[in-house]
Amino acid sequence: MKRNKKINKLAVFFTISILEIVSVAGFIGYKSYLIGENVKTLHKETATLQEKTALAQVANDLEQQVSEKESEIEKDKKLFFEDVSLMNFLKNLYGTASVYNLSVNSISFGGLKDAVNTNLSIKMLPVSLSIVGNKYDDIVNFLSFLEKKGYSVKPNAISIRNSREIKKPLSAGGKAGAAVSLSLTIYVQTNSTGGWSYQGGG
Amino acid sequence: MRKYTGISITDEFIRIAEAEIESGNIKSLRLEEIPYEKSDLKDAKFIKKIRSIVKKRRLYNKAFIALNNSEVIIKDKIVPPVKKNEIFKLIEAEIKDYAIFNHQNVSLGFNVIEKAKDKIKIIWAGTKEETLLSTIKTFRKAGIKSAGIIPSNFALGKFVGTFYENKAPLVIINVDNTKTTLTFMENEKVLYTYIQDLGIKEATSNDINLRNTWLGNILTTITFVSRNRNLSIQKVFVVSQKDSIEPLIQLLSSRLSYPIIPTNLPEDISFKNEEDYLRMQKTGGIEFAKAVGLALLGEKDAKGTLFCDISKHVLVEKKSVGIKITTTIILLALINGVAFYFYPYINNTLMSLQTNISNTKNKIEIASKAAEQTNKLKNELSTLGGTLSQYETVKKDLKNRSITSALLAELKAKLPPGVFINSVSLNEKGDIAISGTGTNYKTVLDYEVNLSSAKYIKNATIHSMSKSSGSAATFSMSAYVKGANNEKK
Repeated sequence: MKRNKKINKLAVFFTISILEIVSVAGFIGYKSYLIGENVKTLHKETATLQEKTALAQVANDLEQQVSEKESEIEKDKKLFFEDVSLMNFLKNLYGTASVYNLSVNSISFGGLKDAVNTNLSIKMLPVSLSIVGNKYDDIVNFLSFLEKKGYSVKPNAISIRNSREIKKPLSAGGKAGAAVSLSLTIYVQTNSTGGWSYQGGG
Repeated sequence: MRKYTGISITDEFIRIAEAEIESGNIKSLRLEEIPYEKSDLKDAKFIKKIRSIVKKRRLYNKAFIALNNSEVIIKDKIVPPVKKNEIFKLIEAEIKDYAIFNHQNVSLGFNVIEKAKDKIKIIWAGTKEETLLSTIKTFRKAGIKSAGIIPSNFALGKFVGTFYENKAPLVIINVDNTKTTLTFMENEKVLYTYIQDLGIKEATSNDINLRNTWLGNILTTITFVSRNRNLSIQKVFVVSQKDSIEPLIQLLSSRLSYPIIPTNLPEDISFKNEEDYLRMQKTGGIEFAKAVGLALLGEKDAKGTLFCDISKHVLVEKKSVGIKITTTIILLALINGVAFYFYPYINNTLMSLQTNISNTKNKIEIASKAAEQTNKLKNELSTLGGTLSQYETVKKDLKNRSITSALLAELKAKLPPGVFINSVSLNEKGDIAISGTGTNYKTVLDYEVNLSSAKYIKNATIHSMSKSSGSAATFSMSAYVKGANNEKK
C-alpha cells in the first residue's frame, strides 16, 4: 500500500515535471518561433521601405524635370497662336499690311483640322488672302513678316501678277500694281471644332 | 591487503567482524558484539550506540550484512534456460504467495547450482523489501554502508569452505535462540536449506522429548535430503549463536553417525584487540562464524558461487528510480534555468522586433505617400514628354515655313540687268511659274543660267520667249522649290 502510494507520488511528480518541461519548452519555442516570424516580417518591411524611400528620393528630381518640361511646353505654346492672339493678329492684319504699302481686300477661312499626327489642341486654320500692292519687295517683306510669327503662319501658295496694264514690270521697283493671292495655314491652339470661333472669353 | 566488514544479525546479537584479508587469508581480525532486541533496530539511541562504536573503533564502514534467519527464505528451483531478468520474474511470480511475504514486495537474489541445456537449477533467497530497506537505512544512520545483503547460510558456507571443507557434501547446523537452520553444501555451493522453529532452548532443555524432537527433525532432514538429493553427507558442522556448544555437540554425536565439527575460528588468526583473543579462548569464536564468513565473501576474488546478494535487485530498481528522479530534476532545473535566463532576452528581442516593425510600417506609410507622388510625377513627366514630343513634331513640320519669302527674294536677286518679273506663282506642291520681260533673248537666258545656282530654286526652265521688233522679249519659265515633294521632277 505504502509502495503504491509512493509509486503514485512518483507518477504525479513525473507527470507534472513532464508537463512543466513541455510547457516551458513549448512557451520558449513559441516565443522563438514568433521571433523568427518577426525577423522575416522585418526583413520584408525593410525591403519595402528601401524601395519606397528610393522612389521618394527621385521625387525631387522628377519635380524639377516636370517643371523644366512644363516650362518648355509653355515656351512652345507661345510659339503658336491661341484664340486671343489670333484674334488680335487678324484685327491688326489690315493695319500691318498697310505698313508694307499693301491693302488686304479679302480674307476667307477654311475649316479647322487637327495638326498632323498629334492630339494637341493645335489646329490648322486655312486662310486665303487677297491683297493688292504696288511693289514686289513690299510683298516679299510682308510675307517675311508673316513667316516670322513664331510657328503660327505657314504660307502654302502664292500668286503675284500685274493687275494693271504694264507700265512698269513688277520687280522693277516702281509702282507696278500687283494682285496677290496668298494661301496660308495658321496654327492655332483652340478648343474650336469645325470652323474657328473665338474662345477667349473676353 | 584490504579491510572487509561482515555484520550478522541474530535473535539477540549484532556481531561485527572486520578482517584484513590478503589472497583469501585473514591477516588480522577485530570483533564486536552488540546485544539487541528486534525493536532496537528502529530506536535512535541504539543506532547512535552502533554509530559511536563504529566511530570509536574506526571500523571499516562498508559492510556485508546477514539478516536474521527468520527474515529470509531460501529455496531451490528449476527454471528454463532464460535470461537473468526472466529468472527474477519467474521467482517473483512464485514467492509473493508465500505466507512469510504476505503478498508484499520481495527483494531477492539467486545462485546457479547446475546448468543444463534445457534447464537451470538455482537456489534463490528472498526477504521482504521493507525489512531489507529498513535494515539498510538503520545501518546507514549508524554510519555503515551496505555493500550487500547476504543470507547467513551462504556466509557460513564461506566460513566452512575457507577453514574446513570445500569439496565434500556436508551440512552446517546453525543453532540460534529460537531456530535451527540446516545448510546442505557441496563444492562450495549451497544446495538446500532447512529451518525448524526449535533452537538452543529446546536443544538444551531438560525435557528429553523436546531435545529428541529437535534432534529427530535434524536427523530426518539430513536423511531425507541425502536420499532425495543423492548426497552422501561426509561431515556435519555446528554453529551456535550462544556460548554453549558442547551440549549441542554431545547431543548431535549421540544420534548422528557423521563427524560433528564445531566451527571454531582457526587458532592461528591474529587479533588486533586482546579482548577478542580472550573471547576466542573462551568460545572458540564460533558465534562470529557468520560475520567472518561475510567478511570473507567481501573479497573480490571470493565472490563466487556463495555470493548471493539479495539487495541488488531492489537497489538497482531503486537506483533506476533515483536516476529518473535526478534526471527529471536536472532537466527541470536546466529547462527552467535556461528559460529563466533567456526569457528576458527573448522577450526584449521580440518587443524590439515588434517596435521596429511598427516603426518601419510608419516609415513605409510616410514614404509611400512620397512614392505615390513619385509615381504621379513619373506619369506626369511621361505625359509632358509626350506633349513636348508632339510640339516637336509640329515644329519639325513647320521648320521650312519661311522659304517662300526667301524664294521670292532670290527670284528677284538673280535677275540680270534688263530682265523683270511680271508675275510669279508658287503652289503647295512647290511648282513655280514665272513670266517676265527682258531686253533680249540673251538676258532672258542669262536669268535661267543665274537661277541654276540659286539656293531655293532648281530646274529653272524657260518654256517660251517671244520678241516683236523694237519691243522687249517676254518669257515664261517654270522651276521647282528645292527639297519639295516634287524634287524628282
